[in-house]
Amino acid sequence: MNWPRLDKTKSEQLFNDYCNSKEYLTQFEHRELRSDLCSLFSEALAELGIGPEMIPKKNYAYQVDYIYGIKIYLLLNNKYGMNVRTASYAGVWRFIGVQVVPDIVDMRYGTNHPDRFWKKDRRLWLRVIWWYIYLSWQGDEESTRCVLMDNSTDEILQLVDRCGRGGYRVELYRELMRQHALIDPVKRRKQQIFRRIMVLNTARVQVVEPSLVDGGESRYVTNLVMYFNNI
Amino acid sequence: MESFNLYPVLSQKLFESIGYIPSEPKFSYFENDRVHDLGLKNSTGNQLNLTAEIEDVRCHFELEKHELSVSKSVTINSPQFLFGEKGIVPQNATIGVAVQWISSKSDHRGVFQLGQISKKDKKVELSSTYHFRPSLVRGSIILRTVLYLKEYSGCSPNEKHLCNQTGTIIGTFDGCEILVEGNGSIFPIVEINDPSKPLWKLYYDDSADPLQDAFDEEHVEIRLNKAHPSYDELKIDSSLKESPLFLEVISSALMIIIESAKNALGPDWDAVINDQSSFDRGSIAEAVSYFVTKLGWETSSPSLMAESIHNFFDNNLKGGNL
Repeated sequence: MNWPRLDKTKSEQLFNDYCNSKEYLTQFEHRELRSDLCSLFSEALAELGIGPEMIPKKNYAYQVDYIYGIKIYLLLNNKYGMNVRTASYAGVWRFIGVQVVPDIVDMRYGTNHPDRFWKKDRRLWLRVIWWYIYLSWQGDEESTRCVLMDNSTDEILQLVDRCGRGGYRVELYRELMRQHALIDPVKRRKQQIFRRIMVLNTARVQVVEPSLVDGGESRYVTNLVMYFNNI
Repeated sequence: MESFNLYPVLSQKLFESIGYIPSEPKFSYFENDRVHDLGLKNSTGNQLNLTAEIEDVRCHFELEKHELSVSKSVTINSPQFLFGEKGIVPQNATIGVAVQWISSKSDHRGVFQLGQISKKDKKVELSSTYHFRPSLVRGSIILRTVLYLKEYSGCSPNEKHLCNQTGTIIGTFDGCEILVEGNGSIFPIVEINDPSKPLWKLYYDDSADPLQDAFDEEHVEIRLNKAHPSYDELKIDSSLKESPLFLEVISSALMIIIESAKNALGPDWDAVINDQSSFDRGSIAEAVSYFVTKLGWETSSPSLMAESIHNFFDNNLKGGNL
């Protein structure tokens, strides 16, 4: 697919139109994309056994983020040719968010969060969840679900926001997600382990290149995690 | 943020004594069972700090479609000085040489290894080729040749101050930034065609976060109006030296950008111009910080800013630097 990119001016206008009328304008050629994205959203809600009004309650928001995230990650990559290069253009995510499925973003965040639709490049909801899944990917859907199921929206923020200088070390992040999932979920949450691992990691990569450590990323992450396991 | 080192790293003196011979990275791609070399054009800087653009004489290369290969080789004539008490690793350790790569526009970075050096090596020649899969990189690739501690097996009592953690970067040999697409202009400029509009305008995205959002056409752009009667006088295909009008446009646009970023940054402004802020690579703040700290533009008042920007262009055009 040749992905359209929307600039902020056009996005703001479409977003305001949507807010005023709660109607959206999907061009004919993007109907199929819209229909695919909508049915996956219904599937995700059905799997959780909730209606859209329940999304803001309990930890459902996160459940929607990662379950819907995996579904759209597979759909966009396999059917619509999404790749890293395309996914790094904010304009592509503005297009999906305000022109194709503004109603879905609305169900997750409500229209008083324009940042999540078009306004902040690094906050666009669909962009954030695609990258969350990409950076956590364990080779297949099942294994990826396993490492993500006990997390919360804080892990999304910590992982996707800490891009670091220059960019993500993808293999490192996948290993971090794998080993983090092995820690007891109660302890993880109570002690904000993930946040602390990411802070320590940000400091360490200033001097150490994880893939060059004797034992590679795996040993590097084991050492990071061990530090917190002993507390 | 500069990192603080707790152990010796490659110093200028040590760098000079080991006889490092750099070489330009070589790019190529694969199509129809054949490897096609990509050239480098518009090179600036020197062998240790190069900026250039790749050039495909066949005009077939596409980042979306082709794997991009990069080969890097280095020669070190006297690596023995790197080892021991006065060096950067213990005598019996192994040093690795690797290339760190960054494609900041696609938010990716990685590393590939060139080889290793031990004390007994006389002269070493290392090289390696790395393949970027299609649709991974965007904009430019930064390549940095670094030294790191590869194997560590203890040290003698007089070497206790040396680095002992494998994977630690203990020196940088050279770096370069290679544009892999686009027109290489640091300044996003587009042309519009609208008789009702002025000769030019600056688009600045007021909702952008200067610390994060990129200094690119999504957030900052000069729009020149082809339909304006004075358009031809811009002589945009000539050099700046031959077009005082275009120079005025650029100078004013830069001033608007700095003022806009200053407004958007609010209390963060001081940290940005004092180089103490952690802005993202390629961000608006990085560009502004460069103008102010490296080019020395005065920003304390609009009139002083305008004067210093004009002075800058006058001095540098005279010297032929632009």
